[in-house]
Amino acid sequence: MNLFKVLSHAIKSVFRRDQVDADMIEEMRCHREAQIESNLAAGLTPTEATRAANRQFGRIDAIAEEGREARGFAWLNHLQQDLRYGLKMLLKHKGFTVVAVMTLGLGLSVNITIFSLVDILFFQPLEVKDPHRLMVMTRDDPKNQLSSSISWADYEDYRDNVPGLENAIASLLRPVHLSWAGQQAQRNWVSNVSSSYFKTLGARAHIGRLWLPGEGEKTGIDPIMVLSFSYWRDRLGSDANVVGRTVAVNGQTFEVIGVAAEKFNGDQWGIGAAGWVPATMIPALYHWGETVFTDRTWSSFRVSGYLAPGYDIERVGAELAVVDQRIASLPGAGSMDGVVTRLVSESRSRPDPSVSGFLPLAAAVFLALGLMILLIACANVANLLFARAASRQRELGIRAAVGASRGRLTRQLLTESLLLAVIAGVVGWGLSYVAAAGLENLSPGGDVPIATEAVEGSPWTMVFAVAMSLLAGVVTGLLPALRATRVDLQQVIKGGVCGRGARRQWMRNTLVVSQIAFCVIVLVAGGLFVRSLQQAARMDLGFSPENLAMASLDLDLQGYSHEHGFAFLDQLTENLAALPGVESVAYGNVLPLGNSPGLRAVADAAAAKLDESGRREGEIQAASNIVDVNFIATMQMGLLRGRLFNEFDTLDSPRVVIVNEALAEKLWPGEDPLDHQLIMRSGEPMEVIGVVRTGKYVMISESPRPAYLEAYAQAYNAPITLFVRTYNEPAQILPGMRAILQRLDRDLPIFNAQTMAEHLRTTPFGLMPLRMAAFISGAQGIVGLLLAIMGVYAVVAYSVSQRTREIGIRLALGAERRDVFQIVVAGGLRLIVIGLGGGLVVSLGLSHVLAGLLVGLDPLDLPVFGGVTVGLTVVSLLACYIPARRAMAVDPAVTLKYE
Amino acid sequence: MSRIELLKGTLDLLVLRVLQSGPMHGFGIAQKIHLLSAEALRIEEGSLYPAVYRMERKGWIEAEWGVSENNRRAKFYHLTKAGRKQLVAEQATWKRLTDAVGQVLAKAD
Repeated sequence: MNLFKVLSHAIKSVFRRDQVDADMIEEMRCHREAQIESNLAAGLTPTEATRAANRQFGRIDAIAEEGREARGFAWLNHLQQDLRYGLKMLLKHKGFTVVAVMTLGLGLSVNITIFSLVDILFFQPLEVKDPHRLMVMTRDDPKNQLSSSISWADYEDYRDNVPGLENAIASLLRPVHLSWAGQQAQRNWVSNVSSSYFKTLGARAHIGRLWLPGEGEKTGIDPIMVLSFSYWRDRLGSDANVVGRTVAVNGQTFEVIGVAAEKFNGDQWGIGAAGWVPATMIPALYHWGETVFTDRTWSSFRVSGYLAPGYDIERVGAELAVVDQRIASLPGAGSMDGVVTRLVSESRSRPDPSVSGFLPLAAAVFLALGLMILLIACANVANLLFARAASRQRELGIRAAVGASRGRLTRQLLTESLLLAVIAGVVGWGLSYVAAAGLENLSPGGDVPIATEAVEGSPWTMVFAVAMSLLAGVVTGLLPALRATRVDLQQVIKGGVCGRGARRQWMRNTLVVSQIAFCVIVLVAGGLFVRSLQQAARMDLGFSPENLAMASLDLDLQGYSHEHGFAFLDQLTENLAALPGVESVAYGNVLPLGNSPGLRAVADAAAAKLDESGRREGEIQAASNIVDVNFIATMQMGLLRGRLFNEFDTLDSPRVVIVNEALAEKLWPGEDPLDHQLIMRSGEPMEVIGVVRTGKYVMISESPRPAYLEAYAQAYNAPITLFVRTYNEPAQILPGMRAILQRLDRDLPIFNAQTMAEHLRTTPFGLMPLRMAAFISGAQGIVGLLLAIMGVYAVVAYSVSQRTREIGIRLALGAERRDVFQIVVAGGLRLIVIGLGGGLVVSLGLSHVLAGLLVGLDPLDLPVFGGVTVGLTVVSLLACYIPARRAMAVDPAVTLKYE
Repeated sequence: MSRIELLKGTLDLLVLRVLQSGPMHGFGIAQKIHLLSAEALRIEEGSLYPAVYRMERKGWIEAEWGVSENNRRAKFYHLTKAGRKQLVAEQATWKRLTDAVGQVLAKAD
């Protein structure tokens, strides 16, 4: 049959069903009449003829039903019927519908929210050519607990000597001050990229052009810039004449040659830079000298490239190792002991390759927890359906009696639960927007530009939502439907449904036990995340973060000379200190737990030099900072030995340094650090004048890290962060700080103007990831608990209502009401204890997994496990209490009479 | 002669074959099979109509309302091209089946 006929047939059987049915009935009628006629012709009396025809024909309606099936597309008819019927049922039982939809909706929204995060983090391809082949290079260095980037010189070696990595490109994201003619300078981030960058990534220009061959290859001769589409649109109002305009980048004149295509955001996921300049312009832009291209310890470039055909990551890793070996033997190379350079696929490197091992595990944990919540919700609704199936026995029995098959009835019930689930999916989708708004408050703060395009949802989330809703519908509805349709006609017609309660109760008990078990797991996970957040928040940062306001600025980018800069800073601190409510003011070069960790190689100045690069025996990586004389006091770092910096530490006096305990312990174990001198790769030996306690420098989760402080007067370094210690709420001082900065230099861009508490909360290196985890898992825990309690209550209440007669008899036979109460509660308690036991065992396994992820987490955290056990027991018992009270109130006379 | 249970699938073949000689309504089909089988086969309406509708859906036969020989309204079924092809195929299959069964019955001891 051709397609047209199939379609017309289908349409006819669905939309003109009444006519088709009538047709069929008419045909049967004709047939019967013909039969009667023929019987008459054979000599039967009219009555006999009719009766014989009827007997032979059987039940017309049964034939009609079979006929409908045979016509095909019966399922479409059925679906239509089922949907209409299901909707009618849902509308009729509004209370049930609302509870079921909200329950499933909550469960689904948790899953949709988590999946949308996972989707953004792992599945959204980067807008580049062949995104799935794009690899990012990363170096694991056991010495600094951090994976590091690559130096330009190393990049060139990899680019030229690793055949498994095609078209390696390098980029360096840096803040700059962009100023357009006639406008105030703005702080923005640009990516400094290697010459083949755009071509390799397959980027196109929206207007103008990108690098031409030969551009960006020789140092300092190509002052050209390509703008990103979003910067061009948002900051320049989509100026069509922008190509050919000039812009001052850190005071250097650059020509805009083009705007990149709308979606192109470079090689780094989630980053929305203002534009791209050739890496060859780095010396001109940042005054670093051309050594940035030769110094192998200057490892700041992000290196990406495409996996060559026929290669896998391991094979390229082997080639990288060969190059690393050669690099290690070169003079001037950093220490390569234990260093492993490897490739990570771009989609696995988000948000940063350094956490690429950690995130998939975290995502899996959260997805699993989300699924458990959905299962709790499904079990709840399944329970409701069980209860309802009992009350629908009659209806189903009658339908079965008039010829509906079991499959047909099951389909009907399944359609109803699917309908519920789909409505719940819509509700869940809406709720996930609420959750997303909550998560937005937790997104990383700080100075680095986020590409907003990257954090938008995708169609995959929609697909996921639909799939999960359907799954939930089937999971919820299948068992109750199968059970409900196993109808015993005799029993239904007789009017009583009894004797089968035990098995159904068993089913419901199993559901509630698993609910409680899942709930325990979700609650324990939530509790562990919250504990870990608490512990991280209590961690000794090495300074006191309360009542501290801050703001960052970069005088270099604004073209200040050293003398001018010193004068500006003196004036600035003087003015700030004069603000009311200010206790003290200080500034330092590195912001703790900020974007620029400031790691440097240092050694005991007395140790033997290994080569002319300045590498010495026993060299270690330490977090550095350059601070003014008030810094240690203002930050309340706690000087353990020696003295603070003072105004006599100048360029003309001996160089001095203050170290932390961890550094002293590492370089001079058991000795007095004040007897020693510290030295960097380049520079003079610095006399250790003091020791401060060890804090947190790069990441909140780091183990004790060596660190040292230089005196600002001896090591001017322009990018600084101001720290203002206040007597009261530090946020109140921020407007005053801004006003003063504005007055002293109207054009100076300021960033990170916030309180220290806010910085710690939002920085991705501080509490942000933990807060995010605690928020999600905490919300999961609350939803799970709510659902599980509902489940316990429903099951206990149902069992009481089923046992009213039994209770009545017991009471009539002289049982105390107290005994009845105990029986009911004991029944509930049994389920709770079994569920708790099972849940706790699984949670123990989970907490061992989490302990690998979380800061200072004891996998046997007593408050969490104890709290969850006690809390869940108490709340579940409360859920039993109300039905138990109802059982106590049973009046034996009434119950028995009714039965 | 007692009634014979039809083999599964044979009903389609019989209906197709009966319709080969021209359009016929449901009662006529049943009647004709009954007569042609020397009253050995009686097609219940409960099996006839589902079979007819199924064949209609498969496109082997088509139906049209008309007037029967004794001036009654009736639905007449006729073979389509696909139906003729199907008939040929089913006849061949039937032949192969009966030959095979006959051979087994004849040769087995």
